[in-house]
Amino acid sequence: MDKGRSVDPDEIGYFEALAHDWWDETGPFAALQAMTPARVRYIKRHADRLLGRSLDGLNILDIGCGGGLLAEPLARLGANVTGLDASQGAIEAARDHAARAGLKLTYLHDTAENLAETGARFDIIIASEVVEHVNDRLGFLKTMARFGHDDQSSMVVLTTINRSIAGVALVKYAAEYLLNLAPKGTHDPKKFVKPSELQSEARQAGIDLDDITGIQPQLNGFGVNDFRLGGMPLMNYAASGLVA
Amino acid sequence: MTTKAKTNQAKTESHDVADIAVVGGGLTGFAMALTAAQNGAKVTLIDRAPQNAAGDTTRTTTINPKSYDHLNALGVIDGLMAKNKPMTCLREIRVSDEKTRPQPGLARPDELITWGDPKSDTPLGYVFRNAEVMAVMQELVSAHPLITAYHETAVVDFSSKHQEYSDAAAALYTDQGKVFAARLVVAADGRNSPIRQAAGIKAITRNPGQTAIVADIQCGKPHHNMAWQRFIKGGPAALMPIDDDRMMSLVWTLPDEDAQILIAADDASFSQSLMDHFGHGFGQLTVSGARLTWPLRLSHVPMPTQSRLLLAGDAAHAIHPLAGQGYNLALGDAIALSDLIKNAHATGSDLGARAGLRAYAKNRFKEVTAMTLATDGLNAVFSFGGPVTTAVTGMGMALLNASPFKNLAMKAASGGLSKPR
Repeated sequence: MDKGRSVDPDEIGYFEALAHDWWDETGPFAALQAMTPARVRYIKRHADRLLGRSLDGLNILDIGCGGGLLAEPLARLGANVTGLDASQGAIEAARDHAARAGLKLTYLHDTAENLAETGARFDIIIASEVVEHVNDRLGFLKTMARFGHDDQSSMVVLTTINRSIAGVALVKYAAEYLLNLAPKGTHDPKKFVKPSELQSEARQAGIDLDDITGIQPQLNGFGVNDFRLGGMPLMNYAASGLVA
Repeated sequence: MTTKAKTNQAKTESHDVADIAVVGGGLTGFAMALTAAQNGAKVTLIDRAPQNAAGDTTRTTTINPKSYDHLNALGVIDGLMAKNKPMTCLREIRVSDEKTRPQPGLARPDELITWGDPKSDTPLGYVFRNAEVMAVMQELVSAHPLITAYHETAVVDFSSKHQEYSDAAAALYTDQGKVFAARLVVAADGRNSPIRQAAGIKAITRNPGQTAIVADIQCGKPHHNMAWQRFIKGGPAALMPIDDDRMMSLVWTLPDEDAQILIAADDASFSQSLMDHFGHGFGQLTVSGARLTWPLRLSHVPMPTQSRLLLAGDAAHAIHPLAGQGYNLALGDAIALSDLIKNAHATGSDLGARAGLRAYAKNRFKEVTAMTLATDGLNAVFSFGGPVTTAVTGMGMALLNASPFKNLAMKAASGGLSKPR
């Protein structure tokens, strides 16, 4: 299989090693699990805003789906979800978990570039916590745009980490090293991206990212178990818009 | 059960996965099952007792208006109306101590707390006979298309990982060798909760050395929907209005030995003891029918959730019955379960996911802890004065009458302590 230009082999090798941990509630992806309800709320809200409908019956592509943390809830809400990941281990973990969870999803071990070659089109194209891990971000965004319909609206959703002092300090160092919220080595802060840069690159790729919303961790006596949408995109943020 | 036994069972049986399995067919279990099903969850109910087992006709329960609203939403109130067995309104509560003899009419200045307005449209609460609500709930449960009930089935073990579905479903093992699978297990299996023990969840238990006596009491004068709570040495006692204007339900907690003596006494002596403690305000008090006893065991569970498991009712919080708050807490659990399901459905989340269970635990923490401490504290202050009874009781009075506490008690009685929703 050809590796797409956007895939960083080191990143894939890293996630391959964690393939068995995707659904461990106390494991390295616990924080990502905790962020998932907020990610789903964001996607629902902006599907309503941009496509004027609920997720039920929509065709969704989740690029870099990992073990299916986001893909499964979207499937539960009635979407036809295709999960795509360059890590074989992640796709196997995702397939295995979906079967045990009683959910029907399509999981493909492939790259976005290869899938785009097949002419596949989707109503919503998602790359959640992905662009901070890819090489050639602009090329990746262009590939995302290729999944848009010719004759009707398609929406792109991105979630990622701001290259701000807060993003680097909190997501990279505090989360990985102090709080053990994310596995050490998960993030390379050089790949973090500012919202304005992302919007500008997306525009070049033919995606009009007209919303940027912060995703804020909620600290309470029971640990970081929840994230809320809103506020400044200082650390984690979500972006959405239509494919032009 | 051994690991080997579990493996053998799982190899031979494959079950559908329920959204929620509720263990326990009491007032709490039924309320949890009906609440879950009302929110669209596919429910498996597992109950030790036979289907339509007769409930306890002597025991009564007091609830606040918020709890009443929830039972109304579940269809319980309509069910009671259809049987012409409406709950009894509680319009006024008077609290007094040893030194004060309660009297009808205007509240006396030496009564500790009186609240409520006999003429108000909104009662302070409601009192019902457990058997009557049980009967309605049994009908609602068996008629509900989303609930599958298994009776005369005891759950003996729990695992957060099912042999077939691994971490995507929890497993319940029954005494008959069945294995049930569910995304979320709700343990409403009582204060000794076998599931809580199987899951290794820590409970702080305490034996206060008290026994509760329950009996129907006929009163010589109409009670006008007023309740009398007496803080007397040995333990608190309460008379709650029930059925008609001349019937009251007694809950009297006493030291274990005193309770044994009192329960063995003949009706005339028992009634005389009541008169000694409650005075003549309600006219002649006469015990009617059977007297029931049960030894009090209090427990508090600091963290009522675990992977794919949630404890409800007495399994999570067995509190002193003195304030009549036990079932309010259980229905608070049911309302919190409703929130958990709604949130999960809104975000496509697994019903047994950690985030939802943590939110549930956080949701319940304040009310459950406050009520446990308040009821336990009041009981301790008033019941065990010993040689310093007067002084200690005086402190209890001051505590009870101090406005923050009074506000807490009134708030709890009328609407619960949880955050406004």
